[in-house]
Amino acid sequence: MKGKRTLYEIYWEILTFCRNPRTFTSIIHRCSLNSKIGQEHIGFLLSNEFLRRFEEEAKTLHVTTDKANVFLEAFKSMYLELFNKGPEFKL
Amino acid sequence: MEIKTLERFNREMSSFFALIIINLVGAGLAMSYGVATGINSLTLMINEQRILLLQTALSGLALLGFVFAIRWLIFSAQIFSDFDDLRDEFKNRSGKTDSETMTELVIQNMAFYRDNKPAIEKLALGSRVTGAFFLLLGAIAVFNLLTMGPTDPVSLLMGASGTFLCVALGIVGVYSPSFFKKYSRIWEQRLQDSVEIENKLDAILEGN
Repeated sequence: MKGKRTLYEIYWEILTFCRNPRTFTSIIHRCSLNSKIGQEHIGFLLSNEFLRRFEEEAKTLHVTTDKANVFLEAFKSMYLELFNKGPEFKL
Repeated sequence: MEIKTLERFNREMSSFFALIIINLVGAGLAMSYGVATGINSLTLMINEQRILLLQTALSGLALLGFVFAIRWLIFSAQIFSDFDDLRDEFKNRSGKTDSETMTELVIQNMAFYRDNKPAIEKLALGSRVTGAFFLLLGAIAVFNLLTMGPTDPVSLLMGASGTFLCVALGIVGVYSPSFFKKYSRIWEQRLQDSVEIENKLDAILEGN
């Protein structure tokens, strides 16, 4: 996904993408982040235990933890409500 | 809920896409009409071998209208390109109606609006200015047609068609910014709402 996104939108993207274990490179590629920013965001999510890092077959992978579900669910319901509650754009 | 959201996305994106297409076509027609009017006026003066005040004014206005129409076309094309990418993404995902896909679409549309906000504002302004020029050009063409227009039916019909096109372009140009404003107002509200959401999300993140 590209374009200007907020920090929380990027966190949401990383966490939903990492439902299946992912490498650092695949995360920053999928979320259109540069390496430095990607490290910062992933570091934050790791430190808050929303992401877990582990080694498998000589690869370092990241996976979303159960702890992130509260954030993911709240984000999803609030964003869907935000889109649905206001007036609709029509010609 | 998800189906309702998907249908809403479909309607909103189709409406905005139609608006961009109307602007692209309007800008293209305005450009070609500007060239045609300018050349016609110049040809008439060359044939008459003297400078005619009305034709000079028409040529000047047509040239100015042409310049504004190019700007209008560029902004329309820029927004069209970005929005077309978004539509492709939407089409690729429209088979999926789960809440996660819908949330991703909301994020993508918000990102599109944030990225294109200045271009949308410029497009609305460009469209209005070009529309105003073409209305003025149309008024002159009507005056021209009524006072010194051709007398044979074919030329009269062609002149009237050109004048009608000019006025129609002017109306589209002047009126379409109101739709862009409506689109901006809706997405601005959503952006504002997202700021309130951020505070709640922040509390969730800090609560851990």
